[in-house]
Amino acid sequence: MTSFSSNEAATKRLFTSFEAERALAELLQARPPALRAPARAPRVLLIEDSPHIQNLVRLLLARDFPGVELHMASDGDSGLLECARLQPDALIVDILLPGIDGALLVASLRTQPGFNAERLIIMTSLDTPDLEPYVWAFDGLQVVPKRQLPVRLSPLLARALRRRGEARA
Amino acid sequence: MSRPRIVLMEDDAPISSLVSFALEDMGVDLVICANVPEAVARLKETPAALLIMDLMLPGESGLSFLQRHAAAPLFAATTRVMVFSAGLTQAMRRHLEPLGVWRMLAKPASILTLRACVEDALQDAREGPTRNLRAEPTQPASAKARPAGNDLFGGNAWLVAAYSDACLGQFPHDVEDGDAAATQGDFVVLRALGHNLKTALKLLGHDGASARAAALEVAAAQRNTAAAPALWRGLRKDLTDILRRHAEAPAH
Repeated sequence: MTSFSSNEAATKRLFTSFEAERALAELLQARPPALRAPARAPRVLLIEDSPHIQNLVRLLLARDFPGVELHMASDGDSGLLECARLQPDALIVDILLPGIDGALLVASLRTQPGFNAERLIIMTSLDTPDLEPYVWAFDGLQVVPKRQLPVRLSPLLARALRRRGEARA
Repeated sequence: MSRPRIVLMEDDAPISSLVSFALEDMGVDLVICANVPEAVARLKETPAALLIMDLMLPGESGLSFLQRHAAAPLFAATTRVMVFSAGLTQAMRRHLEPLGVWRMLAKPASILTLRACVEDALQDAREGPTRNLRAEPTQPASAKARPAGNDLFGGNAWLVAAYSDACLGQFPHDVEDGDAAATQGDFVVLRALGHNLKTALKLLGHDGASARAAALEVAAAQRNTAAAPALWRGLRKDLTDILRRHAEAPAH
């Protein structure tokens, strides 16, 4: 379930974030460059705790991207680790997440070599005033209201995956 | 194709310059007006995709202007209205909500947020008719019951049906989680349920239930021991009613 801030929770999140970041860096270092881009089906990682949105994204990908592998993580910490493990071609990230939130997760990803903003799609149910505390992390990224996912996700994902193709060409 | 037109009603020149700077590479035609009569004239001259407006203006206030527009339209219904003001108190928001305001953005706001709002407005304009807040309470009851297949789902009937089925499979779990959370006074779970269900129910066209879920999210965040359980009971009834209606509907 989604976690919400208190001082104690925020401290715990940051601490957990450092642990996850360290594990991510170790994984990246341990992986030989030749294995980072194997020929394989495009891979999308969804980091989202709401089963309703997981279902919606699953349906959209089944309809529009049948050859794409969809992986899911239900909290920020496992999302960060899955990102390092799977090396997804595109990421779809919610903002309010259990564990580290989407803003901290994206801030962590930005510190990694090879970070590419164009493969990241941020989604949220937050209204504008509630979104304000998080916008610092999303400069240059697509932030999509969840109610617009049925019409906006597929074009954005197509663009992210096209960039992947261009990068590998 | 002509550039989308945006009218900015703002008498503070430094803020107008900042908005102009923020939007300069977005391919829009920005028209700056310092007061209500000037903005009305420019909006009538050529319909705009978006009106960004302050509330505190010389002469007629922004609130008075919106009240007059609600009574007798002063500009095209397709123009989204975004109030951009330092005066957005909760009381003012309540005044503005029934007046057809598409979005409210409090000053100060980051350039990024402002640009995101404008992008949303232009995207909404491309997608179809205006979805200003005013449109929601005036929807007929039959429209609320109708799947949102022609708007939020871009008219894709398969996706509406498949998503509806997926939600019907998930709602019993939500009811179970909500009951346990309400019994244990677990506001974190209740808030998350409200947060998640407000979008799912909105997508399915259950606007009243979506509004109740949003209210639950707020009450649970405030740890309101009276309102949160009561709102959960209301939302629980919404979910079970949806499940019951589905079970009673004739199979296709």
